[in-house]
Amino acid sequence: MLFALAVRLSAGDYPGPAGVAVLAGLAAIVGGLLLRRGAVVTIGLGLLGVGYGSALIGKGLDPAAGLFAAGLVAVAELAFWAIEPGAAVPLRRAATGLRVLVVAAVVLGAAIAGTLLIAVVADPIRGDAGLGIAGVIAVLAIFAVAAVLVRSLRDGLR
Amino acid sequence: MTRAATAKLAGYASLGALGLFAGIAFGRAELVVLATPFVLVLAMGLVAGGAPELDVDVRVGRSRVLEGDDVALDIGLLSASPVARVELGLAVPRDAVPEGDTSFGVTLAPGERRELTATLRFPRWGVFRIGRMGIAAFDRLGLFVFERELPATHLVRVYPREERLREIVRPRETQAYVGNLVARQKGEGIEFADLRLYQPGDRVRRVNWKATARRGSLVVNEEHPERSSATVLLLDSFAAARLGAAGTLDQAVRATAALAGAYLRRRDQVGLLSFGGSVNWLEPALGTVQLYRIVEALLDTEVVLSYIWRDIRVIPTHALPPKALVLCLTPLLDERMVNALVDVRGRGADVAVLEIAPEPFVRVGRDEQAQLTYRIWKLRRAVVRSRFRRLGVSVAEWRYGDPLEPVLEEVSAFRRYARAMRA
Repeated sequence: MLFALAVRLSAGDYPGPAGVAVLAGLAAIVGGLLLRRGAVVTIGLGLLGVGYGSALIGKGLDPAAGLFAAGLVAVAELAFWAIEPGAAVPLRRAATGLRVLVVAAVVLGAAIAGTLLIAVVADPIRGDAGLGIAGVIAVLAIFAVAAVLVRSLRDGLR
Repeated sequence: MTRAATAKLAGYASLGALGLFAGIAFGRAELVVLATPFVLVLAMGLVAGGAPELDVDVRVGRSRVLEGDDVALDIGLLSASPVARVELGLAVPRDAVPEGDTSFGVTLAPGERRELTATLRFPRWGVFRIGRMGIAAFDRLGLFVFERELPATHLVRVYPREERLREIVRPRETQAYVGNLVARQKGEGIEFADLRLYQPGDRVRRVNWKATARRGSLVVNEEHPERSSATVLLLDSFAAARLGAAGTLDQAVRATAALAGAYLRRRDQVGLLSFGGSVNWLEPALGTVQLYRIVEALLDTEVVLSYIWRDIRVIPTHALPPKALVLCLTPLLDERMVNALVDVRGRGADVAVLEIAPEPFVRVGRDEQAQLTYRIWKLRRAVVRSRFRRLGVSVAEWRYGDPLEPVLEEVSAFRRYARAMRA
């Protein structure tokens, strides 16, 4: 990817806002891994999402959004696994294997859920209803996320 | 176990909220799709993020070992609920060395018992508390960590390795009790001492018939009786020199254990007096039990920094019995110990000093002033030694790494010479 970037830069093809956001996100993720700071990794993941969102400007519904979501959550799972406290402790093979299965299940689930959601939204008949349902789910999810945040702040953050 | 959120939980919550807000604000379902997996993972983590029921027990293989021995800790883990990952970190006490892993990561199925073993080596004597460990259990998604710290509840006593001594310093006077030493007094015994004229009350078996025949009057044998002696091992705990893992106090403790064992095997009485920031003593006694008491008391020896002026008046008289040999193990770093020894000698006690040389533990600077200071310091130490020798107290220097027996022989040789001079 760096080589491709170098080729494009040498040809005078400079990245747009989306490309800059993605590059910044990747750099932040690498920095977060080196510094072992979850907040920096989160910022990097957020920037990747911003880059994707910037690339959607002026375009229609992206049917591959589910795959991108699966990729993003895969990067997130692996990055946070790498910086977990005690990551250097030698784990038995069974523990590592189980964790790999969990990550794979999360990624697969994200791909399926994302694809289904896009399929619901893309339906010309049920699309508006789908958007409405998605909006309700989003509001409920926002409240749930806020509750989680409050609870995590109360219990102590690591 | 205390539950805490990991950085992953905060990150996922932030990304989920950001994606949902952005999706609503810009009207793009794709951004909601991006946020959906993070929200779902959070929801699953909250539902399944209960504290694991984890039991941990620690067993120590041996609680009494010698210097340099290993102690194995067996750690048993049992969980009634599935635990995705459990990490244990065993705290290693100061002066202990881990042999192998002391951090472990395992996964536990419900009802599964896992046995882990950690080994610690103790190169130095002392009393150590072991078993303190941190336990962290993670849920399957890594959103929550459940932590607990187990206190150190096991005591390990590491005894000094004693050097077997064949020759030791002999006290000048013996005690009234029967022992293995040939006393200088005359009485009944095995070793022939002298002849004298018969006195009423002497037993007939003591009559020396050959001498009687030559003299024409009854002559009896006199022998040297076998008596025990008493030795007080005086340990200087005012100050010590140390460099890395070795120091003068370690040498002193090992030598004290070796001397106590040697004297007690000869059926002499041995007492212990630790004189320094704190004063502790054991009155002279016989037997194996006394050896155990002395060694146990030595384990608690440490240099207690104190500026209180102490002299021998704080030492009870029964801790320094009359006619006992006072064998002092000291680096001669503190003036209070020097003065105390001079006072003990001034009271007529039989004193010998084993100087544990601090020079091997001293790092001298290369500049001229440091070198000059070092030479002056060594000269002052030589003056102290000279002062002791003038008082008839033998002083022998024992350097780190050298065997103890030649040093004891040097002390004995000085005492023989001093006795000859007095005679």
